[in-house]
Amino acid sequence: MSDVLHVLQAAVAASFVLLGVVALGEWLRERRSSSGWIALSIGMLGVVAGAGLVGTEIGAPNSPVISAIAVTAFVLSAYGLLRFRGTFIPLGPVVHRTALAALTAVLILELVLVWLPDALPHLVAAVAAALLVVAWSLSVADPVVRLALASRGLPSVQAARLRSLAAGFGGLIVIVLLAGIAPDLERRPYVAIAVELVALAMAPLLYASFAPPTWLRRIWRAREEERLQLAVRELILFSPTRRELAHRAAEWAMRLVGGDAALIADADGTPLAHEGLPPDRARELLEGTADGDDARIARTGGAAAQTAIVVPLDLSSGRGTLLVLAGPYTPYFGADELQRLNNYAIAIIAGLDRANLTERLAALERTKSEFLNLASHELRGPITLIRGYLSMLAAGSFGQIPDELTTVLPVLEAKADEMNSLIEQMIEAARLEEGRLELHPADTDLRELAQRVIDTIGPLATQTHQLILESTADEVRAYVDPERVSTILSNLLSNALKYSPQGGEVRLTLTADNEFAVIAVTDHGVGIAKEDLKTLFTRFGRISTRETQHIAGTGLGLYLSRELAKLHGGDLTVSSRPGLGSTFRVTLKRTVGGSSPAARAQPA
Amino acid sequence: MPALAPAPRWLWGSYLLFSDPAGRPRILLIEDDPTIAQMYRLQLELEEFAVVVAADGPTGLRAARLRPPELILLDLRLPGMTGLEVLTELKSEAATAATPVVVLSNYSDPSMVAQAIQLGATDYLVKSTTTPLDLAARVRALLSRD
Repeated sequence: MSDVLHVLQAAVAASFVLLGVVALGEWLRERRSSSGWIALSIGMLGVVAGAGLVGTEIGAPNSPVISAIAVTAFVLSAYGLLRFRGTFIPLGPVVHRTALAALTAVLILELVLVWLPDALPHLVAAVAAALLVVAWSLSVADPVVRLALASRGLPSVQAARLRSLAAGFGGLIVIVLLAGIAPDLERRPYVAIAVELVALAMAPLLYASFAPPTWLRRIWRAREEERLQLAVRELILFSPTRRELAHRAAEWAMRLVGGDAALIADADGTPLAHEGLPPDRARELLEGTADGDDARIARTGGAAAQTAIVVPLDLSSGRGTLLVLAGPYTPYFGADELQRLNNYAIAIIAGLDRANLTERLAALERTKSEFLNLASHELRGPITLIRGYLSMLAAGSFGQIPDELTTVLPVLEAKADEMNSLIEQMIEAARLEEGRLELHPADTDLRELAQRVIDTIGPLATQTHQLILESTADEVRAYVDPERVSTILSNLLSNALKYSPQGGEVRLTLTADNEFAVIAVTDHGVGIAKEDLKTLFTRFGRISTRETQHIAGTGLGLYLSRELAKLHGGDLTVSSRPGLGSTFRVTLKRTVGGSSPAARAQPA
Repeated sequence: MPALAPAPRWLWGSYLLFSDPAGRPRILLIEDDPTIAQMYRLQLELEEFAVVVAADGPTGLRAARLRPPELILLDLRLPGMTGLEVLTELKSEAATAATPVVVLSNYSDPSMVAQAIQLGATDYLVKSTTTPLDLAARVRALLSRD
């Protein structure tokens, strides 16, 4: 049994010595005060364990030199932990001084007892031992509790590190208190073995706290990683505006590295988001951190200098900045944090650029709606007046008009009508794009409708034109939107007239079967070249050639006509031979939307 | 052509004091654009209607309340109070609820038309496609129907 105990004691001592060496190595690598203090604390525990081992090995467990070293190291381990806690939960000066004084006093008392074991009464020695245990336990318990509390709300890796540190020292407190309160208990072999086993278990916990291996960090991080990925996805895809996106991104950046405050600045240097710090300070920080090409850890300027990670954001509009400030609860920033933030910045850049595009598109949509409003009001107002007075003049509301005017008036009226229909087409096209165009179908005789359109278009024809309507039946009934079909036909007819400046026949042919009505408009005008047919039906796809460039038009008409035909379950197609003329063919479903009164219509 | 000058302000007041001496049907035109108001007024007067123009909603409402006209022509885009608000007021008051209101606006949104009809408008005319002669014919048709 004592062999087992001996092996265990040796293992505990060896593992703590090893811990001390590793802690020292970590400190030598990083050289930060926080890693220095934790190295001191754990290294001193290693010294305590090593001293005990050496004492037993050389057969002098009560040697005063070894005892003195052990006691000193023991007290120093508590002080080291207290200072470690102080590096990120600032230690009040009063608490610091009190703890230092108490520990020093107890240490001196113990050292006296070690060198002169008989100088003081037995009772004093017992009290001194108890004081040592109490002072050590209190000095260690404070950081244990505070670190455990501070771990809440920190990124998972830091939280786990702090918790394992707290648990490791917590276990040691239990052992020390047990030894202090009931020293007899430890003489029983099973209790002694249990105590050594607990001590042995604390070693890996402490090791994990200051030098967690990569695999352990990955496990700790796994759950948060999932949430981070979700957050990044949301960030890139769904954030409605740049500010909203920056706000969320800053929040996550803070979480990611356990920072205290974060800010994101746009390419022009204005802060897009600042979490955990006032705007004035944000601006100050941005000015203080001069531009650099790489992500880096920097010290901020000013009276209250803080550690910060600064990552440049290469946005499409220029270079922005992501800055995360270390806070009092954050263990130091390291290469790991820098790397993670740097990776995260890529998502922020993608997100901000996308939001930029979305915002611009939204602005464009708004402009289009505003244009619709402008077109409908600011253009309709004047045309109302012009057409109104022209019609009154023509109707004789202002008395008999001179003969010279009677020849001019119809042209003015036709041109004003043309302008009006251009305005209407612009409004219709805008509505179509917004998906707000609705059909109002009614039972319609297409032949009668075509005749009406020909009558209104008539004045635009020159004397060399002949407008002819040809129908295979006296009546072709269809359930369509009569106004929209009129728009299509007057577009096709006025185009036919416009693009056959030499005159000639313009023929409108109406045919129908059970399902579709087909209206063809044929002219003998300039025609359309093959390569131009592709752009004919696109918005503003007006073709400008030497023959046609003098002809006015917006190019909206054919685009709109085709879309209207499509809304009727049909289409608008064209066949043309340059120099010989064109035929535009509209197909319309006779029953728009399936059920309709047109079911009783006669097939032509 | 002196008749083309905008209607003087006092005319609105005069409308409140005496009815049309010739016994012509009275039309209240609520329209903020004086040139458009004048154009429609000219043709309506030529066709033996008595026309009074109000340039905004509250003025129109006051005129309608004191002496309900035979018909009200109402623009929708008006300063301060919108046409739809005026329409709601007109239809909610006993004195004017029965007076036919024809919307005469350059808004042609189907939703706007539906809203106006739902609020009790008798008809909805788009200005740019309604010449003064069209309007006079429509007004005559509506008044002879009663």
